[in-house]
Amino acid sequence: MTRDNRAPAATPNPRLRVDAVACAGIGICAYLAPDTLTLDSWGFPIAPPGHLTARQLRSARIAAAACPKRALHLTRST
Amino acid sequence: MSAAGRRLLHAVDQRPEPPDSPTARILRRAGSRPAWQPVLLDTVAVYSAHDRTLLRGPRPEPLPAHHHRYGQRPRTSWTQGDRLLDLIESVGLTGRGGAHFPAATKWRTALNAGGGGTVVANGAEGEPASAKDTALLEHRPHLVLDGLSCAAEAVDAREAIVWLHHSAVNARRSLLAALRERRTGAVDTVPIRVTVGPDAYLTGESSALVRALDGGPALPTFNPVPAAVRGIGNRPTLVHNVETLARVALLARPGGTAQPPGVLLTVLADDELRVVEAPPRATLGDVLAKVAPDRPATSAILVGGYGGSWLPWDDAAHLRLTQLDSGPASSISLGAGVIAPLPAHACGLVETAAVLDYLHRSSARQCGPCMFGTRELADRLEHLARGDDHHRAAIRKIDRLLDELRGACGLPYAAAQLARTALTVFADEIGEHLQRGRCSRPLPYHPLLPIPGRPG
Repeated sequence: MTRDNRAPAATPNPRLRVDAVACAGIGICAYLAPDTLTLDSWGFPIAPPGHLTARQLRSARIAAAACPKRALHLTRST
Repeated sequence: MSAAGRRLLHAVDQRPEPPDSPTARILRRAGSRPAWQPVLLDTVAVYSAHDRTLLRGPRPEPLPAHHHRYGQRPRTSWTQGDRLLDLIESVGLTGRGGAHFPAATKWRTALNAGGGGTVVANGAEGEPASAKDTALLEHRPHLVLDGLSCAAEAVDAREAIVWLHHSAVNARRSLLAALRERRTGAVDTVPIRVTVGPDAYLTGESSALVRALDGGPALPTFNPVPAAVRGIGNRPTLVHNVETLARVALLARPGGTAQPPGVLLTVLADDELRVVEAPPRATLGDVLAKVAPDRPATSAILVGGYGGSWLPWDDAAHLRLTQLDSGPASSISLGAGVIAPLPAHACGLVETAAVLDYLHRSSARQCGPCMFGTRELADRLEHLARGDDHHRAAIRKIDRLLDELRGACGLPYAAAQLARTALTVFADEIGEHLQRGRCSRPLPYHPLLPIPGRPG
C-alpha cells in the first residue's frame, strides 16, 4: 500500500449520476466521455460508482452539458 | 408407561423444591430477568394472502385502552425532539419499509433543511407477501399516529399525512376512527390527514409517494436532492414506514428503551399471511415451528419478500433474526420482515419465474435498463422454468443481465437479488429442467406464491 503524503483535498470530486427516468439511451454521453461512461446491452449509460477523477470530471461535464435529456447530474451528495 | 411409573413421575413433579437448592436459585435468577414480551402486537394477526383481508386477529384498540397499555404520548418540543433523535440514533432504528436506512440520518437531514415541511407515514404496503403494516394500522392505529405526531413535532412540520393503498379499506376506517377519538382528546398538535394512492406495487416507493402527494403520478422519480431536503411543495419531507413510526412512538415514552419490541414478521404459509412479533434471538426455525407448525416439509425459504433472497432451509433454519436484521449493508436482509417457506413439493424455479413476471409487470417502465432488463430476466427465467431453453449458455446470459439491471427505484435491484439467489439455491432444479426439458413436478404446475392480479 502506498502512502499518500499529500494533504487531503478539501472536497472530493463529485459523483456522476444518471437520471434513469429521463435518460432515453441516445448515447451521446458515452461518445463524448468514453473514459467515464460505458453503454449497456440496450445502449443506456453506466456511470462509475465512486467519485470522479479529475480527468473524468472534465469529460463528464462536457457529456452532461451535451445530454439532450438533461439526464446527467454531477452531485456532491452520496 | 406403567401406572406405577406415571405415579412416580407425578410424585417427582409435585415435590416442592427445598428453598435453597441450586435449582431454586437458578429459577429465581431466571425469574428476576423478565422474559421477552411482545410490545407491538401481542397476538398473531392472520390475513388472506390473496386480498389481505383479515381472517383472524385483534380489533382496533380504542384510545383509552391504548393509553392504558402504553401511557400518554409525550409532546415533542424541540429540546425533547433532540433527545428523541439521539435515542433513535443510539438504538440504531432503521427504516422498516424494507430498505433499513438509518431513521436518524433522514431525520437529521430534514431538521437541517428547516421546518415547515411534511411527515408521511407510509402504509402503502406494496410487497404482496407482507401484512405487518396493515396489521399495525388495523390494530394499533394510535401507536402509528403517536409516532407520526412525535416526528412531525420534532422536525417542526406543518402537516402530517398517512399514505395508504386505495384498497386498504379497513386500515383507513381504523385510522379515521382513531383520528376522531384523538381530535376530542386534542392529542395531536400537527394536522393529520389520510390519503390513498393506486393499488400498485410502486405506490409505497418513497419517491413515488412524494411525487403523488405533490400532484403528480404515483411513480418513482430521480431526485438529485433527497426528499428530506426538498420533497412535497419543495419543503423538507420525511417519509417513514408505519412500523418505524410505531417504534418512534415507543421510544418517545418515558423508559421507552426498557422493553424493546421484537421483530415484526409476516409469514406466508397455506395462502395466509401471519403477522407475528418474534423475539430477536429466535431462529427462523423457531419462528416457523410456532407460526406455521402444520406446514409441509420445507426445502427452501424466501427471506425479505419478493425482492429478497432464497436460502436453502437446512442452513437458514438456524439463522437468528438478529443475524438477518442487520441493515442495508448485509446482502441477505429481512427487508420488510417477510419470510415464506417453500414446500419440498414446490418448484423454486417456477415460483421465481412467477414473481419475476409480477415484478416486470409492476415496473413503471420509466427507466430503460429496467423496462428492457426486468422483462428480459422474467422471460429468460420463464423459458428456463418451462424447459424451452436447453442451453447452459442461457445461465451465463442471465448472469450478465443481473449486473446490468438498474433504475431510479429499487424494483430492478429486487428482481436481480431474487434471481441471483434462485440461480444458486435451485441449481439442481435448474440442471434438471435443462436436462429433461421440463419441470420435474407433475404438470400443470401452478405457483404457490400469491401473485396480485392473478387468480389464486
